[in-house]
Amino acid sequence: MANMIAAFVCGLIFGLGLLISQMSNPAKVLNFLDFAGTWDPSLGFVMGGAVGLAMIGFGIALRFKAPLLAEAFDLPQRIGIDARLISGAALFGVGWGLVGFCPGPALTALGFGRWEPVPFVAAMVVGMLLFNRVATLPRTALGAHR
Amino acid sequence: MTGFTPVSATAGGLLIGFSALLLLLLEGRIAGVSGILGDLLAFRRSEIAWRVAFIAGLVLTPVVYAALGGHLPPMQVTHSAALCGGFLVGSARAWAPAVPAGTGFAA
Repeated sequence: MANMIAAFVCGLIFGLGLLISQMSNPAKVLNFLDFAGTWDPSLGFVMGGAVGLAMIGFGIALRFKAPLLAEAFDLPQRIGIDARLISGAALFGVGWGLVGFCPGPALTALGFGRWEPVPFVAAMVVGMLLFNRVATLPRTALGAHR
Repeated sequence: MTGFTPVSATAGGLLIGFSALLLLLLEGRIAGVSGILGDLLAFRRSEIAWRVAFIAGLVLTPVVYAALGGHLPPMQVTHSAALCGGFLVGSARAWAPAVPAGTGFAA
């Protein structure tokens, strides 16, 4: 139960960050990517704030033996860059650049109670489900962590 | 056209970083939404509850925010390629689980 409350509160704080920074607005994201046109550098400041705080915080947090509500830290094991990561990042970038949504902001945008984010989220879930199935075998063969 | 908003952008970014830090300190997890949602969709029983709770928080934020009297910021979804983009973003995460986030975090 404590786990769920903690995760819910983390989700709320994350969502609040997305709302305040207006990253829940795809137009804001698309304008960041539009260097030559109506460039809006705000997203860079969001990234700076998030990554800056997390970098310092993670360095301190990982000195603890274990998290408060779990037995151990569960961190991604792979740190190398391979063709698969690069191709995945490229796919992600195309989808992100087309619409201006990535998963977090799209989920928060759902809570606005409007229909516009629904097709994106639905397609995203289908993409995840499909590739969860399809990619299981080669991923294991490649020695990936999941 | 959107205006440049460095102060609210930095404040929001700090909140996002704080949330990620809190999730790491409490649950020992990385707050990548792609990963949280993608692995939820793999339906491993012991892993479902906290993932659902995190996503519920994320989705309910605007509801709570508005209920507390906050004015929701604009949301302009101008592009008709939402289906295609959503599919690409979703499959990217499943294809390469470590794909970095769009805003450094928010994916």
